[in-house]
Amino acid sequence: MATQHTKRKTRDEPSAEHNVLEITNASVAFAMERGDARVLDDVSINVRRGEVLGVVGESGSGKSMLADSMLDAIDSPGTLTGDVVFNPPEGGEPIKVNELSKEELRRFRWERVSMVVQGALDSFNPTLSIGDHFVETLRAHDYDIQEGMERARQLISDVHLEPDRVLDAYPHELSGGMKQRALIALSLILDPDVLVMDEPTAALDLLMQQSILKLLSELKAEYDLTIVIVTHDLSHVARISDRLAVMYAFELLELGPVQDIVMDPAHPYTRELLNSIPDIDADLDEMASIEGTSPDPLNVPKGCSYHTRCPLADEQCRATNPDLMEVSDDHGAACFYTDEARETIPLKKEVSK
Amino acid sequence: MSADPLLRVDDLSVHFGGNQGILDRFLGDDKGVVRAVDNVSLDIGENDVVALVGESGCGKTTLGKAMIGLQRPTSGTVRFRGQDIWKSDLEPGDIPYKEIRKSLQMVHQDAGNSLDPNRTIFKNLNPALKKWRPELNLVERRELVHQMLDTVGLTPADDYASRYPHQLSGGEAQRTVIVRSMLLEPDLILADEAVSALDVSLRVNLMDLLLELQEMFSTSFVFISHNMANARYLAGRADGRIAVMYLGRIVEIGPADEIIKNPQHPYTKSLLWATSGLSEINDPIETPPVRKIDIPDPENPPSGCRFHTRCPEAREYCTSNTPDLAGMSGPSDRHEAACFDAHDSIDYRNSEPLTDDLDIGVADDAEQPAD
Repeated sequence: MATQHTKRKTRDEPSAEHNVLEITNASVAFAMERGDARVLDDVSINVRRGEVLGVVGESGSGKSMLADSMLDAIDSPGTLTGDVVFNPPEGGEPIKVNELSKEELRRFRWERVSMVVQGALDSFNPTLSIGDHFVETLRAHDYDIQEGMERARQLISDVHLEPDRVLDAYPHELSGGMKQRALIALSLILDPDVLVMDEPTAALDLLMQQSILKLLSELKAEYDLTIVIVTHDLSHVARISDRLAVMYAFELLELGPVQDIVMDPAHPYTRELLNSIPDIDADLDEMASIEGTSPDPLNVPKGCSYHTRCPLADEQCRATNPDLMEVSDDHGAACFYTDEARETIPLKKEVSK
Repeated sequence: MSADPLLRVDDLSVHFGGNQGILDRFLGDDKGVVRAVDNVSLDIGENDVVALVGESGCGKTTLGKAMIGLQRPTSGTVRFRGQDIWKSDLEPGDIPYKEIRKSLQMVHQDAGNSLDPNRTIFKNLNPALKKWRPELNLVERRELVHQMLDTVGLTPADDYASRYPHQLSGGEAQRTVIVRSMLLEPDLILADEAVSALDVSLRVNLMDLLLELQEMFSTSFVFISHNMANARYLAGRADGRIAVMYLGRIVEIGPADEIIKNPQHPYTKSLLWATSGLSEINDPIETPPVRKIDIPDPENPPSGCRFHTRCPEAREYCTSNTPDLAGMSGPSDRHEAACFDAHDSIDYRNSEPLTDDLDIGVADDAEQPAD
């Protein structure tokens, strides 16, 4: 069998060679009637070239905001602060994404970083055929249409669709799974380096979801892609991800190789989250939910944002918000008590080595 | 009491749409008819739990609605304690229609939207009680509502009772809707994707609540879910069954454990493939165990076994013959599957395997492992 998770020698050093995207202290705030809502709070994360990064969080954890910041695609009136830097794979000057002009940003998206948004099934214009979408995108970026359409046909057959049929079809003529695959093909038409996907499979059936994940791992190898997948379902992306980033209350709580995160996470939230997933292999008596609910963006608790639900929380947690601290090589968690967490919150699921 | 089960679904079909033009009718042209449910039979006992699982469009919600009398079947019957729920001329001794409606309740998919946003929680719950429990006065009704809110963990109950739906979180709204259905003390509750809208970390909690209530009130439950892991949790904890539906038919049914650990139908196997557990994170995702990943057009379902266009085990015989649900020889006599391969049919064995367009790249994978 082929090994999917090839060990890379890259560590999280700020080296432009390895990191295709470097996000530093990114925050997003919305001014609201009730006050400023911080929907992304000081997140720093590097996306490494060639990896699949899974960003996991519950609804309202800020995971979509993190995805949007990678293309500086925060909707007004939201404002992005911090730095988002893109390192071109061919070398050359790093691109500061959040300082690009409107026109530069327009080019940057699709050609450098492409995005498949949530609710992708509505992303197509119902009055245009699928083929028109490809043509329109190519034209808007001054690409050669004929050459581009050759590539389009190739991409469409890569996602197991028939190019002849699909290019002439209108969006309503395709099923949800077919639309989603056509959209993935469309997002790759200008040969981006990074593909950011926000809940790429949420509205689809399980069989289709898994098939699309399988497709993505094939596309990644074929087109030399870096993929960021944002999802609420940890068990779903674990198998294709190289690293997982766990978000809670608009912050990054834990980041590390997928094996570490799933087999022995260090943050109490991640541990309890893992225990709460209705897993098909786990013992029925051993699943339990996390008590309480995630905080309101207008009213995030002081100190560690998880302290209200955390069994280990003490004075320090209530007063100070921990930074992402190294737990082991390449694995970080934002918690003062990672050793205690591992002791006091046993993982209920046995994950085979 | 009679030997009739709580609910017996017999050869039930529900068809939608189609060209209703007079000419089409004369020509017998039923093009465009969607057979959402096709010849399904199913018994639900007292205190029984059944999870209906399938992909979207397989007819699971339609079957569920037909079971509780919200959808009139095209043919076939649904009997509640032996009496057809659509029987129009009731005789003395029959169960009144009102009683049947009250006994069969539903929890809808989108809890937040099934509450009236302009009324408080108490006022949302009150009308049902007022209609069906006329012997109670306002104070008693209020007491009962508070008691139920307490039971589902919405405490302090008087605070929650005076809130408006927008002041509830998704999980709280879901609990409220469950309370509303339980207030009538029904015999059967149909819960349509009751947990899929919730955050992963809250799902087990809500499922536990449903199971607790099921036990507390001895209510039978039919859970509709597209998620095998959730279905297994609910049916498994309650010692219930999982029924797998595909294009309007039940293709496999049996005790939760049997279905998960010893699936017989290739479609069930493919659903399980799609529900990978965390214990498999180190293995690359295998090639899907189906020949095509897209579901055929339900207006024009395949002949014979409806799964034959996607089934990896399909043979010539499957294209023209329809397998029936039949008991498996195994540890459980409640395990049934509708598959010629599972039953080792001789005609099936003697026919040619289908080897048409494999469009998911099985061939490439077989030759060399992907990098």
